[in-house]
Amino acid sequence: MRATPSPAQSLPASDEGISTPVPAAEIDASCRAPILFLLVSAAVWVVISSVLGMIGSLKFHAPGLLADSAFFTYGRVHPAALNALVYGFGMQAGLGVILWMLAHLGRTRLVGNVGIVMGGILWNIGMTAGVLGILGGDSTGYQLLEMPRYATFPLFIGYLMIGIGALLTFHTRRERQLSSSQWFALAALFWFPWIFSTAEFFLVGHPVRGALQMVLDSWYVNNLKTVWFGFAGLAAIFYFIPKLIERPLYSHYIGLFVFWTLALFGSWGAIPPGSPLPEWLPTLSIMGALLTIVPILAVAINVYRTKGDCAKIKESRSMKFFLFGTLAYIISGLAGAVMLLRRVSVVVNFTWFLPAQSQLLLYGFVAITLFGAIYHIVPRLLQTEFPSKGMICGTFFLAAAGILLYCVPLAIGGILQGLGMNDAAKPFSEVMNSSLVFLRISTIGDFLMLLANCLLLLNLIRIHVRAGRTVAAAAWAAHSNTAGVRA
Amino acid sequence: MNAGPFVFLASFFALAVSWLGFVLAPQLQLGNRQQVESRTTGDVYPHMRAGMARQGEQVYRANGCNACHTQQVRYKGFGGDYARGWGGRDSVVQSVDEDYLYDRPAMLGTIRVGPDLANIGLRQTNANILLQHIYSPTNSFPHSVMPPYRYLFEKGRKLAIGQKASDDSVAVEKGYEIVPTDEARALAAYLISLRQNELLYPETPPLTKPTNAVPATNAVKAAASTNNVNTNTPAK
Amino acid sequence: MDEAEPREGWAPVPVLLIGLLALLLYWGFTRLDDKGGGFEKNVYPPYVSLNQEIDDWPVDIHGGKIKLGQKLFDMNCAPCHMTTGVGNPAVGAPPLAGSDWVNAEGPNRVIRIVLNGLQGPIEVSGNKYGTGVMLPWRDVFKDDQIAAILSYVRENKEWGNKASEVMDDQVAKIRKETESRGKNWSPDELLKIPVK
Repeated sequence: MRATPSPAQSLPASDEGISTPVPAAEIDASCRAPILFLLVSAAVWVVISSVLGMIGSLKFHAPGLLADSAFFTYGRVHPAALNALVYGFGMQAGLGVILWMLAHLGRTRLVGNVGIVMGGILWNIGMTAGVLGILGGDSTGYQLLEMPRYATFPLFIGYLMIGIGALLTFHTRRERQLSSSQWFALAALFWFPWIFSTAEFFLVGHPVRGALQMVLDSWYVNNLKTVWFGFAGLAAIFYFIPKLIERPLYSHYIGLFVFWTLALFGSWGAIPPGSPLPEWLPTLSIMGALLTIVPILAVAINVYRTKGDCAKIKESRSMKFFLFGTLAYIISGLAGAVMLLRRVSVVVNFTWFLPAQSQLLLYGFVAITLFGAIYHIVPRLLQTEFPSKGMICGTFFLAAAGILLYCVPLAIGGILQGLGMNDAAKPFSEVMNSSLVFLRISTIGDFLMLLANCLLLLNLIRIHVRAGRTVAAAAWAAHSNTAGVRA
Repeated sequence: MNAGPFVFLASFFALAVSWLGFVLAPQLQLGNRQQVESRTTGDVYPHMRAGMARQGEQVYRANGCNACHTQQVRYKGFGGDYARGWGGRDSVVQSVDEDYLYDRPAMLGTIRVGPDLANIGLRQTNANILLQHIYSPTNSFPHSVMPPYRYLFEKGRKLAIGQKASDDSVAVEKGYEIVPTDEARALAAYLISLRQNELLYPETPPLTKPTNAVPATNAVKAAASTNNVNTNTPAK
Repeated sequence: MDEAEPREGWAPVPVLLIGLLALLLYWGFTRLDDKGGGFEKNVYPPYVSLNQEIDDWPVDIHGGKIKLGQKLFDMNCAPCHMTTGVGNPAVGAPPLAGSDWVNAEGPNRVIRIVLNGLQGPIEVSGNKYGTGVMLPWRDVFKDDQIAAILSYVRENKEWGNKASEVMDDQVAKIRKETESRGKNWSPDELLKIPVK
């Protein structure tokens, strides 16, 4: 089926045929600068996001906190935190991991490094402008598209530059057999420019009229979460789980089945019933959401059959990130599918259940999976181990505990809030007070996630310091050697 | 199945289906909605917002009020929205597409940390009471988690002893009266402009049929369907 | 640190998954059929079809029509005929309140007057009115608007009128018949046209 890659002997470049796989160490060397840039900036953004999120969360304990500053009002901090998580961390780290996987799966060097670094710089410029814009009051008012128009141009061009690098890398691949991870990664790459330009054009550039704006925003958000992040995260899961336990993925066909069902049905808008829209739109959305149960179950089967009862699971440090990510994907996906059913939606719509489900997807699945990928990739790029293995485990347990302490109380509180709101005999303020307890517990979750994110950044800084020292020591040794020869 | 372009064709096909169904089709169907004649008053609906309220819409957007407040009421019997008095229409159907025709942006919201505001202009028409709530929410609701928007207010003149604060001040602190800034006034004007109360034929049939309801004869039905067509192409 | 790249197995997709997909698709399409409102743009929940919504409007259609008629009358007709329908002999506008023309059994003549205008003199309820000219409103109002105005006038009990409602299709029919008539009516011409 597929040739195992040749052991790491560096062939002279001139001898390389078009189909000779490039050794892994060389691939990593070619990836070093651009991918480290993307991953480290992503880690900075995830810390920024959780700091902003923490401020937002503390406002439910003390609403008067920072109330004299327009910059830090909840209505600005909250979308800023979400945008930093989704675009600053999720997409940036996702792109970094996709690039690395495309290079490795294609057994080829990363192409277009300069373009990718430039794209990454543009992306971060756009992010900075966007988050500051939201905090400064320039938000567009559309969910997950809050970043003002001036920020979206660098973001879009940055994405295209990174995307072109990814395509060129893919094009020069030495291994022609496509894996399901490559399918997912390419689909994700293709998906974003289309949905983003559509949403920006019809919402910010030339706004459509009336509640159609809600249709477009809902369509965009659902495409981004279910399809883009679904594909990016699943590409990592379907790549790293077989890789870490050194067993083949159970089935390529199930991978393709996931691709088709998720691409076809995952993008149907997620418009809840009862919206101020003609009834056919929510009905179609409910149908699409329910159909995504099929790819979710397929992912579950594929991962379960791949891992079997393999003893290697316990050996690998990164493995728990990916297994937790898969679990979070399955739970949040099923919740997202059922959430739109009329009988469920009547309770949970407009409650804290929605952010709980969304955060489980964005953090529990996407962020934790990408954390695992980052911990796998960075040591290979720097050719150094992380200084502390305990801190890797620490990141995982803090992040996992954080997301659980965030989601579980909010989900329960959300259901109670929904039941209370539907009971018109209860005054609204009473309903809000009863769900406040859960809201305040979830702050602990926010805090743990903040710690996990800081730990990730700290680890990345420490491994860079260590790698820097190694390089310096080697240089020093080389220098003293030559000095000795001369003497 | 190993050709790169095939992956792109597959993605293109899948996304095109979704795009046609959720971007193009709704746009073709609803994109040319116009004002309609209200069946309760004969006026056109919705009204373009007055200048002040339009500025207030931007204050609402800039401060992310939609992070906690929705502006959509679900139909009667679906959840407690109507029973809570958030609905503005004497109809089973509540919010409809036309209600947002002049909203830039339409901020329907996704979560209710605070009450729905689709019809706040029907429940409260006194700008000063709204402004007092925005200045210090815990005064009216002691356990409210709404942040006080103190930065939308400024210190007014110093009050002499025994002098009464002016009518538009929201509080008196340390001898100074606190007055709303222009932004806050605009926001209040916007909130008061939020009302979805007109019955639009046929999207919002009236809730209570008159007791001596005439059975719908064919003639009435014929008239109804003609009117239906005309609802969307009002005479201008 | 040079691990092998992951490989993939080739197990088939479980039949149960495909079965579930088919089942959900089937279920989805039946729901779409039941609840989708036929993809109509004016069908809002909980209604599932346009007819259901229209059935819930039986009487108010008429109330709405009369209100619309009143609004249009006050804006366009009242300057001469006055809001109370008593007319203004000074400009040659005859009264509509209690008028035998208005209260005719059918609306055939009044529809024509509104569409193409009228050149006096005219005798209304036994009194003669001068040589005022009524302008044609053919291009100003649509059929349903003329029907609304005339229904308001003919059914107005406060004015002492009690004639029948005017339907949109009646106006449409006469509009078509008189398409080529480029001038005002005179009372004599109108009297030759049957009232019903």
